Amino acid sequence: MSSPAAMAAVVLLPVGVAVLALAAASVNGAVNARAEGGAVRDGFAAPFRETARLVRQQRRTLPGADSLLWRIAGAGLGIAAVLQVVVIPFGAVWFADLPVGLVWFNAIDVLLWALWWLLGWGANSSWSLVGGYRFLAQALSYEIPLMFALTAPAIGAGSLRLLDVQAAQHSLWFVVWMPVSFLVYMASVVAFSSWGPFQTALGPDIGTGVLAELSGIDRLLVLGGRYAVLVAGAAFSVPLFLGGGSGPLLPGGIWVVVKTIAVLAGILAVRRLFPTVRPDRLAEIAWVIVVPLVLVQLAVVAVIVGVNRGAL
Amino acid sequence: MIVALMFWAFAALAVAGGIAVFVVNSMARATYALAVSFVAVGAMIVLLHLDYIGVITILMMLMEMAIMAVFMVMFTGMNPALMPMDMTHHKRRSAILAAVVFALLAGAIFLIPWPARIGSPAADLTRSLGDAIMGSKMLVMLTISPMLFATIVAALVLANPRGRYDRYGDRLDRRTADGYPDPDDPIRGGIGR
Amino acid sequence: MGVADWIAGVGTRRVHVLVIETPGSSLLRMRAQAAIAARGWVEATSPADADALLVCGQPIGPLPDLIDAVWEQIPSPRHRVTLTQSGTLAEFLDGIPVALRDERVQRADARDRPRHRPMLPVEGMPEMTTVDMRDLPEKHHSGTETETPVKNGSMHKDGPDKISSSDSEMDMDMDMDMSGPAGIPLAEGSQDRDDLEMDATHLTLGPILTAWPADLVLHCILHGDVVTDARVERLVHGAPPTEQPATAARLCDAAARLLSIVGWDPVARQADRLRNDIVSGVAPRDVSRRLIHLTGRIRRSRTLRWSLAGIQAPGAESARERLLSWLLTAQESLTAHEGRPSQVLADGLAVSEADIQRAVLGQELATVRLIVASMGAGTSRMGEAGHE
Repeated sequence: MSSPAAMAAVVLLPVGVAVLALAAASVNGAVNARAEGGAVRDGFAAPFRETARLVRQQRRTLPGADSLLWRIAGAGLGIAAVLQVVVIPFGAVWFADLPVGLVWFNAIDVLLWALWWLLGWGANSSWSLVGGYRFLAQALSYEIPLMFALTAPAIGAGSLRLLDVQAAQHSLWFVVWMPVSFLVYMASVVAFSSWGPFQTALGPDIGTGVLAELSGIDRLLVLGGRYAVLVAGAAFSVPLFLGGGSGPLLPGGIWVVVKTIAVLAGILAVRRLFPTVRPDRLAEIAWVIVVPLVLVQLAVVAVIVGVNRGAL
Repeated sequence: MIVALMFWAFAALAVAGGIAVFVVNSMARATYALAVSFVAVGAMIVLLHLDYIGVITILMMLMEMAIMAVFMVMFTGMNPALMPMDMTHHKRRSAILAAVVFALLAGAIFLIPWPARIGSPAADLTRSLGDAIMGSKMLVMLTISPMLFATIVAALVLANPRGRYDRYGDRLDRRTADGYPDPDDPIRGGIGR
Repeated sequence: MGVADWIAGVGTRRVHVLVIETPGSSLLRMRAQAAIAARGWVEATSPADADALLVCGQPIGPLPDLIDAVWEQIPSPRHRVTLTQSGTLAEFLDGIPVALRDERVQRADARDRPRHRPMLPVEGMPEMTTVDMRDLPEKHHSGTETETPVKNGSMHKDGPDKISSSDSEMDMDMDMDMSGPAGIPLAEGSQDRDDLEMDATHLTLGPILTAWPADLVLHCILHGDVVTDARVERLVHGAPPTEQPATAARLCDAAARLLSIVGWDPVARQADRLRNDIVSGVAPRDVSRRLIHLTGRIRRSRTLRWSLAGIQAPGAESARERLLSWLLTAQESLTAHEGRPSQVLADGLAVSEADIQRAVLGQELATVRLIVASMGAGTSRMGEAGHE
């Protein structure tokens, strides 16, 4: 990675992730405002007002709280999001082309396990702790399907490098013949951001879980970091399942951003269809239904690749 | 040069993390200090161009530490999980043993005549490493992994104190009014199977 | 100072208000919620999330101390309002952003907040590992969803500009020598349902909790997050108010609470909006149309049916059936509301304390919240009868 690229990565990527995260939060606010009959304009402005409010607010702590771990975990969410995005190729530009980019993404999303649990543990409060532990219970359910879902594009492309995965989709996007993997991947992205139907770590049924004791800048870091991780997951699906930077007219990098926005829009639209899934309900479904389905998908992909001597 | 610097930095971090495990006050901190140490080792492996193995090490260690923290807090009881506790035992004996082992290993590193490099490293180091270690035993490896998984599942099933008869009754016929199976579980599962 | 003022201006456009209902003031609370929603503000979900505290009704009994403890936990800038009649509601709400923007007052308030709160020892330590919140008014406890820390730990404050609260997950230890972090004693163990020894945590699901009946206090002993013992306590109602909320409003409110606990935000907000509209006097035909639409959506939703499967409201009725019957009754009440006196309500059966305790034992915390939410409102024997 050359020096100008390194500089660009250090600045552009976090800014890009932050901008998209803010946009996603805005649209989410607008959707919520529309549902409850308020002004949609207020909904769009919601994340900006929240940011301003939280910047002014005092921070809190509790007796016996493990502040070091607690604050690190809060700041870590945004950092994890940027780390995930750093391996994505933006058309002809890439910042860090790891030969094992796919596994790198998986490693960072496992880092999220640690971060959410630490957010729950560090606060020394019952509801936070319950939130952290419930996140781990949910993570145990989605992680194995996620790992198998990530293996399918690797088999399709015959490589773990994201450039190769992208190149292998030149004739047909992977989402077409690996739909189960795509769905499981998207569900896992929503789950590890603890958002929407899988908002276990901060669910309303446990008094907003890890958010119960956070205020001020710490709360902002967690709420913003959550959206950043969602954006990073959506962005990663683009080289993995949606052909990367391929597309007419515009340069590859722009196409990646456009496709990321499309995926985010899809996630935001689908959110309103489901109530929150509790981890005790999710476990049986994940292990008994989803894992076999994903394995069958893998078998299909492997057979196709074997017969076709490469991707479709 | 940069690589050497990074290597020594990660090495120092790994050792510091290891020491921190025994020095910090709470189990959660000890677990995550260990995680930091393992991640530093994984980073060193990446520095050796063994990318896949290094990143997989980082992945596995993070996941294991996250789960281990739960077990640490669960099993170490009230006091040690949260309070300063001296976790070292037999201090003199272990110090002597550690020093002896360190001397042996360091001596071995410097005194063994390592072979000189012939040729150049392979293009795909991970693949060539895998071939060297497992190449002649690939079929065994492929068979063993599903067996290991089956063993884990079987152990869990055997360890469960409640079996089918506890859940469904002596004749395995506990059903709801609609005829659906109705297991007697303390917390209902997602499918209600 | 321009930037700071601008940020203050933007930040106070969307105030988070923690609404506390004293038992018997539900109409006041609903009017407050309607006004908050009309301004585009948000109801806070916990004291950490709040900018302003709005107490509806005059608190009596243990409530004033609990409310003070909650007030202590709200981070600055903050503002506190007690509402006793709906006429003053608009003016109080208008005053909140003004107060939050007032730098001088807020800084003085932040400076004056106590830093160290030494915990006073308990007189007459009981043998059992339960603590009655009412007996310890001088302890720094919060009325929200936290335990009461006991014994002689001292609470330290972290850093000069942070506030501390009294939450702790470990307390209640017979051996006074074993004290945990920050001096809070560690928990005692007991056998859990798998015959393993688990720490017994004491958690009070207090009167000040989102989507929780205002007169119910549940003192729980937890193994992990499973409730193994619960003691139900009802707070006394104040003087009955002159006006009761409409039946349809109460039922929509109960439905909105259950839906928000289930986590189906968009639908919960629609139910909130229905309640706000009924309380604000929107034409019943309009509300009724939307209510029918909402009921249909809830009935058709298979994911909601799956999510609520197996959740029994106290009194052994399925939670989903309760929800649907509330919505149907609200509909009936709206379409035929020419001043009919007290009608039989779907949730008119008073749920006894023994019922609640039986329903809650052995359930996880999240399920307990669902069960209590499916109880509905006004379920104590002293609760309001619904009439318009």
